[in-house]
Amino acid sequence: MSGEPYIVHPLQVAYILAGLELDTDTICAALLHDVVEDTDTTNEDLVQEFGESVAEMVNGVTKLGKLQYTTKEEQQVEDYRKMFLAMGKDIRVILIKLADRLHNMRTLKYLSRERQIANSKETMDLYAPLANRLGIYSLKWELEDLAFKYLYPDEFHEIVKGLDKKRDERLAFIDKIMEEIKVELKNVKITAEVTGRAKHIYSIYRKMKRDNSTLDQIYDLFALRILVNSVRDCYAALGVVHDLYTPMPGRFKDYISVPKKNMYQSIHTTLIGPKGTPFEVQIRTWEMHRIAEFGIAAHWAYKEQSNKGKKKAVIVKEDKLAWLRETLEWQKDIENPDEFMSTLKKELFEDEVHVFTPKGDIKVLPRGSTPIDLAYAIHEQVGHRMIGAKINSKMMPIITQLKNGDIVEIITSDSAKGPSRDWLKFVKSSGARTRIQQWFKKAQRAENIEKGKEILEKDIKKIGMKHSDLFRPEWVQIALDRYKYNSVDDMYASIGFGAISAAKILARLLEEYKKEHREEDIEKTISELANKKIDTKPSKTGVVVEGIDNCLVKLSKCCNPLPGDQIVGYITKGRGVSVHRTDCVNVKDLISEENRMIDVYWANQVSSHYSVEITVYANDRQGLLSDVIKEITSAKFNILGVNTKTNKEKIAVIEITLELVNLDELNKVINTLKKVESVYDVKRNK
Amino acid sequence: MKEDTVQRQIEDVIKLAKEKNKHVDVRKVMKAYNFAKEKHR
Repeated sequence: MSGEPYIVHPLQVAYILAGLELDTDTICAALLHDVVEDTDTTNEDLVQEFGESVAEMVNGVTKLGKLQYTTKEEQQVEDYRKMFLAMGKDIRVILIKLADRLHNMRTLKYLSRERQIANSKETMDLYAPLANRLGIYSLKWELEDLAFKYLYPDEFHEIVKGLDKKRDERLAFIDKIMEEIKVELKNVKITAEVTGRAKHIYSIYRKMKRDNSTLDQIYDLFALRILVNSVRDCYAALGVVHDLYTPMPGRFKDYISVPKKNMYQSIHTTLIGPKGTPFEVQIRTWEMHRIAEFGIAAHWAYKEQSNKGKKKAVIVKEDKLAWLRETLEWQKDIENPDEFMSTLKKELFEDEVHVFTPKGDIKVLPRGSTPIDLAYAIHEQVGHRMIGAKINSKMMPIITQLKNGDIVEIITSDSAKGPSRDWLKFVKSSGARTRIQQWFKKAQRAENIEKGKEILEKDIKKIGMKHSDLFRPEWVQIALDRYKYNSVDDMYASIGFGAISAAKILARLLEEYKKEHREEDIEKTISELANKKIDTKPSKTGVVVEGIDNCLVKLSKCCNPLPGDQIVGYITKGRGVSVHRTDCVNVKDLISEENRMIDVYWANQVSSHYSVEITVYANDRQGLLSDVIKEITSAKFNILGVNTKTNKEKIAVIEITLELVNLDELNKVINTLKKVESVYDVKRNK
Repeated sequence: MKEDTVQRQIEDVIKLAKEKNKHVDVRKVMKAYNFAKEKHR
């Protein structure tokens, strides 16, 4: 596109990686990274010419064959999955991919506007967060700034213009401060390099958006970095700057004593300078600086050492990469491409919380994590045997969200029955989620198969169809292939333990069903419905079907619509019109069958009663159920059924089926129950 | 772009790689470069 010979691209990728101090094989793989994809070279050729290591890296960045997947999105997700699997084996694969992406972004101006936006979005969503997670800030900043430039050109140029305008003033300010700090550091005999630091454009933009501020109000546009020889000097230098200028409260972070998960270490402090202008100072050692710039790549530097004239790769210290392996562990078990992508993005963007074990070990978990996440981060068996947790010496529910600095003790018992399915609602880390799911998968396969069958059958009924309508062997095989199941039992088991929703399988089966039942069938069904003399006027349900007088209408059990709810009709095969709430989860799946959807509305005068299910959540206490029932009956509402359970965390979940006339009555019941002591939430069931 | 500009670019890669990692195997890097250049021609 740029008119340059193609070899320039691999050369530039190799140059970026050489700058990150990478080894011979990575530089070779960078030069060769497109030869398998774009030329007649095979992987075997590369093994023969350059060895296994280079060939494997090239294979990791080579996209899959184009014919295997039906949609572009599926193809892309599978390419990501392949890349991440290769990355799990050899992290250098992702370093090549990041360098490749960086050079592509640098030359994006030669592509169409459409491609510029698509590539920038992918960079912002996936590659920049990945560089951040791997601690390679030098790549992260440039990727973000380039993507930002193409995604928001006006905002980008406005910030650049704004920065240029006050450039001289800013430089004069920084020079003055730098000089003062240098003199003082010299006085206390600390050898240091003090430099000014340019704030990255995208981070300025993010800050402006977050704080709703203007460029002039961003205080750490003024930033300094102090590089010293030892950790001791870091803290000594901190003392010096805090003596010279007043620190801004709440703007101090010590990532030296508590490093980030990606190994980043530094002290950050914001100080008030002359004329009350705040500025940020980062203090770190040279080695910390190297890791901040190169991140994970720093561990490949110097790893080639001479060994009797031969080059030998030095094994990277295991513990440095343990966190990464743990982060990547989940992806092996995710079979569904959509879930793979959403988990990947979540994992990459996750904020962190640092907690301590009673022995003083630091554990870094995603923000919002609970003691359950910590238990699984310690060891799988600690998680499975967990029965309680102490946070800062106090017994607390195991679903409590942990805060930075909490000291957490996990209480285990050999007689514990294993994790609860409810835990999946509370855990934040992918590691804990995967291990809990695996436990259910392994320990309860038979049960999961039955449960999966039950869920799928229920969903089929909800849309007014029969098992035999959809379960044709050839259609089932399509669903199995699509989601990579070896057998129908595997598929049921997967639904049973929650790895995939029944709706997804159902959607795939419906798609096949639809192909066979064309428009004329729908017309036929509508005319059949219209000719059925079952009811007169609005149906007993109180629902009028637009354009059809006599028609069998039933209210869907999945969402139990009430007069007052927004509703929509679905023409079922031979069972009339099934009425759903527009916010019903099943409607989303039915929407794909647009020609079966029909407008329906509530008749003006509705005299029926409707069954509605609600769930009351409360901290359990004596007399709770009786108080809840008393409130309902004294408001003169009829109860059709009650089901209660209390979990290990002493949270009572009361499911109540009521008979009501309309939405107003439902709202009244909900508001009444919310006032009952210890009740913290009341929800209508979907 | 002229051939000598491409040549200068591989020299820059080698120079930087050697500067950052004194054990880099220049012969292997050159072999990979020549292989890729030939294939992409």
